[in-house]
Amino acid sequence: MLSHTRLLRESARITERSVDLHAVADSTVDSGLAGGAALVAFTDAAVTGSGGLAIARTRLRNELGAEALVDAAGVVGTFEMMNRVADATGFTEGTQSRIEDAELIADLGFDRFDHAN
Amino acid sequence: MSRSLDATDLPIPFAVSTGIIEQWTRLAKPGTWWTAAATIAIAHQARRASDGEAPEARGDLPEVVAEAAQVVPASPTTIRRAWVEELVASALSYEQYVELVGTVSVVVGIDSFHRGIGAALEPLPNPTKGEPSGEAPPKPLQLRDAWVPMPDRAWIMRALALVPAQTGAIEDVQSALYVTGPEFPVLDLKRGLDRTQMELVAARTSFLNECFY
Repeated sequence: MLSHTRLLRESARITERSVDLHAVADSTVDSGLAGGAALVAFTDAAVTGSGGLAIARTRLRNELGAEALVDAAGVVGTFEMMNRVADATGFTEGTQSRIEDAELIADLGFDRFDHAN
Repeated sequence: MSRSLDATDLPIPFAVSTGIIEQWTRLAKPGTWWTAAATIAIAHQARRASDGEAPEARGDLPEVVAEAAQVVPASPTTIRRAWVEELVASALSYEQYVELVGTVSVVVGIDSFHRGIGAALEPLPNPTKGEPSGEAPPKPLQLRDAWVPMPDRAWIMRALALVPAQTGAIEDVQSALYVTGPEFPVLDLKRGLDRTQMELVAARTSFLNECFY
C-alpha cells in the first residue's frame, strides 16, 4: 500500500488536485476525488467479498461510467495478484523508502501490516 | 474475446480480453517446473480457496502442494519465512514454489477482474501434454532478505525472477488490467479512470489485503 499511496499523492500533485490520503486507510474519509466514495465502496466489496458488490458496481457505473468500472475492476485484479506475489515471496520495501516515508507510514498506520519482517 | 467476457455489455478493451486469453493459453501449456496438468490442478485448488472451499483430493497434486495452492490465495498474510523454508525442505524446490505463486496470483487477479465486472469466471483450460522447460534465470540468484531467491534490490516486478516466465506473466497481466510499462510513470494518465483514481483503488486494495508493499 505504501508504493501506491505514494503514487496517489504524486499523481494528485502533478494534476494539481487535492487528495486526502487518509481515505486509503479509512473508508469514511472523503478522498476529495471525483467518484472517490464509489471507488472505495467498489474496492471494498470486491476485495472483502462481504457482499454488496452488485450494488457497488451499479453505483460506480452510474457515477463514473462503464469504462471506469472496467478500469477499477482491472486495478483491483492487478493488486489482488501483486499483493499475493509480495506476501508469498517476502518482498519488502527498501530501507531507504521506509526512511523517506516514515511520517506517511506512521500517519496512516501502515507499519502494523509489515508482517514480512 | 474470451467466453466469459463475450457475454458482458461492458466496453472491454481489446488488450484486456487478449491479455486474459494469452494467460489461459499459457496455463494450458507445460510450465518451467510444472507440467500443464499440475498447473491447472494448482489453479483449480486456488479457485476453491477463493470460494472458501477446502483442498480437493484429486490425486494429481501432493497434499502439501494443494494446501500451498490454497494458502497463497486465501490467507497470504499468514505466510512467513519459516513456512516457505519448510515447504522447500520437504516438498518443493524454490523454483517450483515461485511458479506456484505466480500461477495462483495470476488466476486470483484475473478471477477478481471477472467478479468485479460481474462476469462469470473463465473456465480453466484443458492442459496439454509435454514436459516442463526447466528454464533458468539468466544469472544465478541468491537467497537474501526475501523468502525466495531474487535479484539484489529487486522491485516487485522481479520478485518472481527465479522463474522468468512468471515475471513475464505478471507483467502481461499488469499491462492488460492496470498500466503498461511505458504508462507506469505517466501520473496524469486518463482513461475510464484517471491515474489518481486508479491509485486510490490500488492503494485501498493493498490496504484491505494488509500488504505493506
